[in-house]
Amino acid sequence: MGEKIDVRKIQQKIFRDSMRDGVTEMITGVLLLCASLMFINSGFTVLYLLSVIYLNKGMQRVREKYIHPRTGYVELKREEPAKTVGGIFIYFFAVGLLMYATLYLAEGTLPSSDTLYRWTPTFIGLMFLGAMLYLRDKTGSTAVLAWAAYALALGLVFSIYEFTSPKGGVTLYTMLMGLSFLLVGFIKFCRFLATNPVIHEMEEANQHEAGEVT
Amino acid sequence: MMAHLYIVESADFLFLMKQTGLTFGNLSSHMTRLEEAGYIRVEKEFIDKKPNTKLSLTEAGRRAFEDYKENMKQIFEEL
Repeated sequence: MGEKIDVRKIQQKIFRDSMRDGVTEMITGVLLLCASLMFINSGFTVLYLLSVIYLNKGMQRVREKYIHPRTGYVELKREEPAKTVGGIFIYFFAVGLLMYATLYLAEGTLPSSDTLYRWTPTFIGLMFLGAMLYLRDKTGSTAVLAWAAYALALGLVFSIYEFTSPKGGVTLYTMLMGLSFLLVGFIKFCRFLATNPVIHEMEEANQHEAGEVT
Repeated sequence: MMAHLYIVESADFLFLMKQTGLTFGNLSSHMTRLEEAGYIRVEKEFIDKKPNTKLSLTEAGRRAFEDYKENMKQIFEEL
């Protein structure tokens, strides 16, 4: 009772635990795969938009059926939406502007659409870097930086390599990243199910009353 | 338990059990006392025909926890 309570550490643990189920990774994986299809054929844009709209709802149902009965339910405090969205946009435009300026200086002319497509994997890698730095702060876990290193390194490789089609690099990059996230997310999900049995309040209460648990 | 509820909007019984490592009996006992003191709000409902207890801090509970944190901080600074 007399010990100092580190609220931030508890907050980080709660956030970390909420990401143990692999659902966030699976959502990210599916979105990236849909994005890669968009680069192959712009007709898939509708699919991407539908996945953005309905995927979260679908995953919410998965959480209610498989996750909450194992970990309980928590409603986290929401950050001010304006602050979060504002931060994302500032980072997005800052990185975009920096990259555009770098390409302009490197080529001595305004970058063409082919050049922009070519360097999109690096741009996406830098976006992941920002996202993972944010997650590191929220969760206190440095393991998320492995994703940042992987996304950025892969982005650079796919930008530097000369593909026959201007969109080849970004298509393969988003496909590979999507598959990676989906696979890791699925493995985490299966491991989570295996190591977290379903617990019912009533069962615990009955055990307590029967003197089986103190 | 108060620290956990201070950080979140609300949490159910199972979540708090897992996070605090307390047993059902211990948590239930704490919950009763805190509710009687007016520090937490307890809502019981059924989800998929199973009982579910949702807890959240009241304003009084939030203030009490902040006072406690402040007091502890002063004590540790004096040590």
